[in-house]
Amino acid sequence: MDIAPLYGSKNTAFSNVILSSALEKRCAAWCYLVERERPHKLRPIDLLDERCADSFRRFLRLSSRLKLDLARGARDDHMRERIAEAEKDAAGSGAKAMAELLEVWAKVRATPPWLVESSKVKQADCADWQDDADKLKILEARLEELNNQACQLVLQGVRSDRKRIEGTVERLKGSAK
Amino acid sequence: MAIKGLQPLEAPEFLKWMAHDWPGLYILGSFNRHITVHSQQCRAVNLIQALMKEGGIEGKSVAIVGAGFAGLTAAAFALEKTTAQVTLFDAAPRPLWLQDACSNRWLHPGIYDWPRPGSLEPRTNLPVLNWRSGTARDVALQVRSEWDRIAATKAALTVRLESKITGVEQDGAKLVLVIGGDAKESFDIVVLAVGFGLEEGGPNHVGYWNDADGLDGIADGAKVLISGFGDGGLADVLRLCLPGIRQANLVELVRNVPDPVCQKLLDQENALQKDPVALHEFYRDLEPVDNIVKRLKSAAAPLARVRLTGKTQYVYGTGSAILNRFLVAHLRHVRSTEEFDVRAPIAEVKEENGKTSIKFQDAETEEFDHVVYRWGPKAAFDRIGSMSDWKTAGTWRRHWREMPQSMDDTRVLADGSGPEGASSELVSKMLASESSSRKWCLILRPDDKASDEWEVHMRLAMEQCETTTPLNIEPIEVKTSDIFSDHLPMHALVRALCAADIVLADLTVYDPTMLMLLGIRAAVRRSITIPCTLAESIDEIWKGLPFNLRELNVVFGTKKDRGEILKKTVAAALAQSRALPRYLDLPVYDYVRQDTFEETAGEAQPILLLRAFQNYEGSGRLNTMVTGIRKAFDLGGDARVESVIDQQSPRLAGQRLYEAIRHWQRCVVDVTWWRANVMFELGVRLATHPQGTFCLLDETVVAAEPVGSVKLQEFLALKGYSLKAFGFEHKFKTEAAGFMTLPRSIFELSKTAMIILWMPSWWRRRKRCSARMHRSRWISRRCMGARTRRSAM
Repeated sequence: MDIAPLYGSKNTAFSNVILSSALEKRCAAWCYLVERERPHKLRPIDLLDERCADSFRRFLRLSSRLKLDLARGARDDHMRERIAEAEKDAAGSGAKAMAELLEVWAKVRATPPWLVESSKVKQADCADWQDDADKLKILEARLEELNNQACQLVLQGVRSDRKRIEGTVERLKGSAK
Repeated sequence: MAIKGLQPLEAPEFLKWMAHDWPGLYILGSFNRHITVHSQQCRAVNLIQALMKEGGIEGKSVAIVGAGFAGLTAAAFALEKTTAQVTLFDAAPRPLWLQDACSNRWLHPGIYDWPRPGSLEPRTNLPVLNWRSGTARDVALQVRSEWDRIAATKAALTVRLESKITGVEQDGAKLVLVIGGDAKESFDIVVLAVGFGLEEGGPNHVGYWNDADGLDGIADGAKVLISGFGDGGLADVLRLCLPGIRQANLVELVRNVPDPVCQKLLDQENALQKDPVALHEFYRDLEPVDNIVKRLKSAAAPLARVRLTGKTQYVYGTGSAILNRFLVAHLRHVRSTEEFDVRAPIAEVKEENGKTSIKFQDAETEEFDHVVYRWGPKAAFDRIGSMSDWKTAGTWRRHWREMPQSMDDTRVLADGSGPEGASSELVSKMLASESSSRKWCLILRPDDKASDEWEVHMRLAMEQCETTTPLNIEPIEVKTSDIFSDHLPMHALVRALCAADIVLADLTVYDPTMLMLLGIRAAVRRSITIPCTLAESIDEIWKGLPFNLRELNVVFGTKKDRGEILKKTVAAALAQSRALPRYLDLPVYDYVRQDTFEETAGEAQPILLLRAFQNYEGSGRLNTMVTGIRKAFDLGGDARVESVIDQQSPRLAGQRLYEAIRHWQRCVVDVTWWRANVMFELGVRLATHPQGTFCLLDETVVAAEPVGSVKLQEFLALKGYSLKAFGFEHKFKTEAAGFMTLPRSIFELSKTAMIILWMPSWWRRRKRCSARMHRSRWISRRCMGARTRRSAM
C-alpha cells in the first residue's frame, strides 16, 4: 500500500521527505509499540516475564529518545502529550520503578561482585556494591508485596545474590584500595 | 517404538492411575515417578487420549488447572483433537513461569531414559507442543510460542491466569472449582496439572530452576554440601565436579558407552527395581568405562570440596535416572573416594558469618560455604485445600511411592510411537552432536583415501576456535559410500545436513550426490558451508561448480598451506556468524524465501526444465524435450516450458531461478549428464517443493557413471527416456492419463524426499497433515530455526 498520500497527496516531495525522516520512523515505531503491545499498561509483576520486560525496556528507551528529538525543535505537541501520558501510566503502576530494580539485579548477575578478584577491588566498588545490595533489598520487598507464586523464584535468587554481595562487601571492606 | 521394557497402558488402566475418587477428576503427573518435561507432556497426551477412547470428553466442559508443560499440553491436545470447551487456570500471570527464565538447566526429551534406544533423540514427537533440546528457557519459549498460536486460533479455549484454585467440590455429576477463595465455577471434567511448583529446601534455598543458585560462582576450595540424591542433587554434583562438561554435552559423553555396558545397566535396572540397596551397591562397585573416565578426568577440576547427604545412605537409589547414577559412580574413579563419603541426614541448620553450620543426625557438626538443597519436588496438589485425602488415596500413593522412577510406564505414549533408536554408530554420533549445545561439523567426502586429511585439518581448525566458540572438535565424517547405505539412511543424513553448524564438502572428486546434498543444505540452513578441494589450482573445479557455489570461498592450496587456509576460513566464518545473526554464505537460502513471487493472473504457470545447457546445444534436444513434455502433460503447443529464466526482470537471474524452483508446480529435471548445476538445483527443489518433480535420464547417452549412481537413481526414481523414440509417448502412452503415470511414481520420491526433510519416519506415521499447507512452517521450525536460538550454558 502506498502511504505517501496520507502525508500530502499534493506535495509528494514533502511526503517523501517525511517518510524518510528518522524522527518520523521513530514516532511510527513508538506508536506501533504502544498500540500493539501496550507496555505502559504493564504491571510490575508482568515485568518478570522476559517478553514483557523487553517490550517495556524498548518503550522506555524509545520514549526518552523521542522526547529528546522533540525537544530539539520538531514541534509535535500531540506526540509529546502522548509520550508524557504513557510514561505517567508506566510510573503510576510502579512498573518503571520495578524495571529499574530488575535492571540492577541483571547488572549484578552479569558482573557478580563475588567473582571479582579481591586485589582489584577499590573502595568505590564496595560502595557501589553496597548501593546495589540496598536496591536489591527494596526489590525483595516489592516482590514480597506482590505475593504471587511466580515472584517466589525470583525472590529466592535476589535474596541469595543480595546476601552474597553483602558478604563480599563485608569481606573486602578493610582490604580494598 | 515404545521405551524398551515398558509398554503403554491401556486407556482404562491409565485412567485408573490418574483418577481421583470423584468421577471426572484427574490428577496429572503430581505423584508419578520419572518427572521430566517430556514425560509430563506424554502423560498429558495419554490422559486426553484415554478420555477420548472412553468417550468422556467430547463436547464437555473441561477445566485444566496449571499452565505448566503438562497443563498446556493437555489443553492444546484437547483443543486440537476434541470438541471440549477448555478453561485453563493458573495462579501465576504467565504460563511456564518456572522454567522460562532458566538458562542454567539443559532440557533433553530422552536423556533421562538413557541407555534405552531412542533416548538420544533431541526432538520430541508429540502431537502438539513439540520442542528440541535446549536450555529450559529456550524450551519454554519454543513451547510457549506454539501454545500462543493454538490459543489464538481456538474459540473453545478460555485462559484464566492469576486465578488460584483453592478447592474442588463435588456437586452431583459436576465438579466445582473454588477460585481465589470465593468464586465458584462448575465443570464436567477437572484435570489437576498443578505439578510441583517451587521445591522446598532449607534456609537460603534457591530452587532448581533458578539461575541464581550460586553454583557458578563457587570459590576454589569452597566446601559445598549437596543434600538429596535425586536427579537434581546428582546433576548438581556433576556440575560442581566437572566444570569442563556442561549438562548440555552429556549426550556426547554417554554416546561412547559400549553397548554391552548399556545392556548391563538396563538389565540391572529391571532386576533390582525393588531392591534399592542392591542397586546402590551395583553402581558403587561398577567397573568404570575407560573412555568415560578419560573424558571425565580431562573435564574435572578440583574447584569445590563436595559432601553429600540424603535421607538414606544410598546415593545410587531408584530416585534418580540411570544416567546420573552412572556418571556420579564414575566420578569416584576421577576424584578421591573420600570426597563422596555420605553424611548422615541433616538435623539442624544454622547460618553464621556467611557460612552454614550443619548438625547431622549422628551429632557431628560441620561448616559449609554453600549448601544446596535438592529435596525434590513435593506435589502441589497437596496444597489445594481438602483434596489431599480420598478413599483410595493410600493405595494410590503407595503405588507411586514404591515404583522406581525408570519403571513408570505412564510416560509411554499410548499409540506406541516414539523415537527410533539410532541405526548405527554414525547416526548415534550425529544425534549426540545435534543434542549438544556445542557447534559441530559434518564432513562430506569422496571415498578417495587421499582426502582423509580434511578431518585432521578440520579438527585442528576447530581446536583453535574452541576458545571463542563452544565447539565439538570431533568432526563427523560421511563418505560417499556411506550415503544410501544401511548404516546411514538418507533421512538421517539430510537431517544432519540441516542440523550441522558447519559443513565441509570435499569437491576434489566430483560427485553428483554431494552436489545434490549441498543444494539441500543451501536451501534449508543458514550457516557455514565450506567447499574444499585437494587440487592445487582451483580452475578446473571452479568451472564445474554451480554459480551459487562459486560465491563461496573454496579452500584449496598446496599440501602445506591447506590446513592453515582452512583454519583461517573457519575462524573467519565463526566470527562472522557470531557477529551477524543473519549470516549467510549461500544466497539460495534467502532467494527461496523471497516474498516477491507472484503468479500472473490468468496465465498458466510454465513448466520448469532443469537441464545441462552445454549438452543440449546444437542437438535439437531442447525442442524434442519441450514437445515431449507438453504432450506428456497434455498441454497445448503454446504451453511454456522454461529452462532459461526471464532475464528481463530487474531481479537477479539466480533469484528468479530459485523462486521458480521453489514455487512452480511442475519441474522436469534432466539428469542425463549428472551436471553439477543440475544436481545442485535438484537438491534445492527437493528441499523446497518436492511435489511435481520429475527426474529423467536419457539411457542412450553414455555418461561417466557417477559414484553411487545406482542408489541415487533409485532414490530419485529416475525414468529413462531416449531422444530417438522420444520417451514420454513411447513409455507412457499405454496409460490414458499419459504423463500422469510418471508423477505417480515420482510422487513417491517427492513424498519421501519431503518427509526426509521435514519429518523423521516416526513423525510420518503420526503427522497426517497436509505437508503442502504446512511446508513453510515445517521448513522454518523443524529444520532450520530452532538451533539458532541456543545459548551457551
